[in-house]
Amino acid sequence: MISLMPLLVLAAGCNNSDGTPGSPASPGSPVAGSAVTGSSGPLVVYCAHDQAFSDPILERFTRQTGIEVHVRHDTEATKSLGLVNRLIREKSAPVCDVFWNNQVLTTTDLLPHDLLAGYRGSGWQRIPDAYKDPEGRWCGFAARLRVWIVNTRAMPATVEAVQAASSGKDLSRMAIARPLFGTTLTHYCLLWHADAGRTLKAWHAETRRRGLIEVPGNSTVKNLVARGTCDLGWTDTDDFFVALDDGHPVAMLPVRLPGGQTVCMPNSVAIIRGTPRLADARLLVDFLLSEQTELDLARCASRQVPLGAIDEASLPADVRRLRPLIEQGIDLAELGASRTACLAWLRSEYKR
Amino acid sequence: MSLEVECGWTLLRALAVALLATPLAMLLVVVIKSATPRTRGWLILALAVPFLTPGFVVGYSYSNLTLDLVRTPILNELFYDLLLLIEVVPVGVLVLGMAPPPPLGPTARWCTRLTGPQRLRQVASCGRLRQLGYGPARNLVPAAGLMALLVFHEFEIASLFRVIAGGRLTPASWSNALFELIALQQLGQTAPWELWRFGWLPLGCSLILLTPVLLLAWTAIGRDGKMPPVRGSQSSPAASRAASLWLIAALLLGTIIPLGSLVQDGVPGLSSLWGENRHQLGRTLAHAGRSLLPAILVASIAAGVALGLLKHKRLGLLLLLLTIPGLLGGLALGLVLTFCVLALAEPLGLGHSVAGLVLGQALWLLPRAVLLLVLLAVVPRRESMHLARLMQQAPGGPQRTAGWRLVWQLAGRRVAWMIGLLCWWAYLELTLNELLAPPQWLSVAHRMYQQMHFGRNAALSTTTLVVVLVPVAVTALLVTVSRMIPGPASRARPPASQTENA
Repeated sequence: MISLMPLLVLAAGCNNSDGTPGSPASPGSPVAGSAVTGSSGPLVVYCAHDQAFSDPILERFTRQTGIEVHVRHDTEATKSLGLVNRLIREKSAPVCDVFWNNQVLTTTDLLPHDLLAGYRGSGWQRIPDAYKDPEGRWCGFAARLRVWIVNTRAMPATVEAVQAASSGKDLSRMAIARPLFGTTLTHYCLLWHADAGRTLKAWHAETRRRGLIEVPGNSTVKNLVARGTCDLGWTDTDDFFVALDDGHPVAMLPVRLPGGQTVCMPNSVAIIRGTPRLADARLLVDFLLSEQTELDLARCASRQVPLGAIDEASLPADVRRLRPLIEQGIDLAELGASRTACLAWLRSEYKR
Repeated sequence: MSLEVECGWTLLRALAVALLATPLAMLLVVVIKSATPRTRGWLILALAVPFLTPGFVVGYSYSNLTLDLVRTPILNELFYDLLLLIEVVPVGVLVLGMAPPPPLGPTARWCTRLTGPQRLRQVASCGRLRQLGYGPARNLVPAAGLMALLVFHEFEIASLFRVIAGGRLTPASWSNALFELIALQQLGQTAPWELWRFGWLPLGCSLILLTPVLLLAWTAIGRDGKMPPVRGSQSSPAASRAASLWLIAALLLGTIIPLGSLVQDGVPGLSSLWGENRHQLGRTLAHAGRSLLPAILVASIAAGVALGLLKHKRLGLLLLLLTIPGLLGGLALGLVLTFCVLALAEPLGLGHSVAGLVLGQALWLLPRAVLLLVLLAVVPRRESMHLARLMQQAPGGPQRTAGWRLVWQLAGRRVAWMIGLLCWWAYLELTLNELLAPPQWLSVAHRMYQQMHFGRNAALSTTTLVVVLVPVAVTALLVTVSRMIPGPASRARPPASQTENA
């Protein structure tokens, strides 16, 4: 009977009709010591975040809660779109319980399909309003930034040098990921948003004509620049730090949009409506949105920037330097229509 | 590049590689057939090893090299084509080596040429094309078709090599294009079955490439249920040297260099896996073990179905029909089954089921199972088996155990090797895993392949090495154990006359 008490307390905390918990767990240790919550079978998580970084987090969740987690990852080539389509296809018989996306945009694509269940738990409450759905259907955490990665042996990592290199006649030493998927798609959508795609279309055609290299993913961009095959490229901070830690001669500069804003892309998490493991799913969501997880993601090789309140002193120096840039990030919430239009154009451009 | 254009380029590549591979396969068949039995074994081994080396491991090993070729797409394409050539030549050798001799042999063709078309009116009236059809083309076209089909369906290496330089994409690959289209299907707005609108072209190409080999198989099975041997011809020393050179190059590029670089990258990491990251090693080994279990299951199903159907001559057509889905490739098969599972998911509760994956992989393995059955001559002569089974029912203990041993020698050992090979393929299969496996059944190879898209690193090389070595180690262990156990026949060997008669 005594061993069942935590379950009853947790269940009571999770089962309010609006999804708000009865007594939010304290930040930093949202689920420590809790036991399995009467669910049936393991928790199924669809995860678009890189395996190397997400697996240790999910393993820690299993160690702390005893809840087994089965993960389906996305490939680098079809980042997050593959999983989003799978979720939509499986709508009538959902397999997934929790969707951990590596960005916000494709998660919000699920809203019109009524696939996401609202939950405003302890984790949701600690994240600033700018990065979450008011109804708790998704919530952002641990962000990355879009950056220029530069090989410092080939060129100086200054704004002027990058501008000169990226506007030169020969772009065969500049690389980007194919913009059909992932954060490069978000980057393209932001450029599209500025003037309904006019500048982007011209730029895209021109850079291709000048020999721009397009590869399957951001990590390949990082590899090309780190190995010196290319001099510069677009990637995300997590990939940049991997190259830096490997001892490659690389430096980064934040990508800035015409308005001067940076491009900040938080992870996002959502519970799939109709999951039979709702209590476990909520535990995982609170766990991912906790201070401890944000801190873990900041301290690991990917150096993701926490969005919620956190002890600054506990953050690595690299992450502390990135925090002000996150605050300059553009609001991605307005991108909906632009994204649809941009994706349609890209589809016609690449698959014509 | 549209799917149609990518399909066209993939087909062009498939035909070009098959065109190059066919004379190579012909040469190798002649050299292998004229070699001494001992040398023949080594030649076959050298031929088989690159074919059995997983494509994604080869692609991963060379991924850094292709990064260096990013600005020279033609070299990137040519290198990819060379790897494909290495991979498919063994299949051509297999088909040419096993196919029955064509009705119009070299002697007949020689006679036609000597006597002139006027004298051999019946042959002359066939026309040149039909003469070819009854002659060398009867086996060469199916061999080339099957090799082209394999090249046409390759995506593992293509996916790891794919870049666009200045708007020019290499290597083109319809499978990758279709996968991207699926990902881009307007976020679920397009019904999955509408993808067939895009998929008919690759499917049609596959069927065309497949038809000659199906026709050949049908005529061969129709004859006697088994392939008659081809008379060996003598190879010249120059041909032997050329064949040896090719085999060494294929072994080097297709297996030794990729695995060697993996070892070079991965071995330093093994000590760390054994030390501070032991839990990670444990997790990888456990995942590899979990992936082996369904692989054994589907391999056994495919072997059982192939064995059962091949035994009955009247079921030949059914067997042939059942092999077609597997021959059309994992992607086409996976898409069909995905739609079936989706349609049945709600009414039958198949959403979380592994049934689709098992069915898909069993169908995918079936053509390989049939090929192995014929190649390894797994179906023993009926008389021999009958006598061995009679011995199994003998009242005396020693005779009965000798009967069991005979059955093992006649069929069991070969079946075990066949299941082992099928298991290897199922363990490394990616497409059906991606499309059909519930999250808890996703294989360790699938996980590795996904990580390979993030580029090469030492930790991944170590894990890949472990993942590839697990089935090899299990096989080595089983073989060693089976040899260490004293066989019943070593205690009670049947009289020599009995075994000879059997």
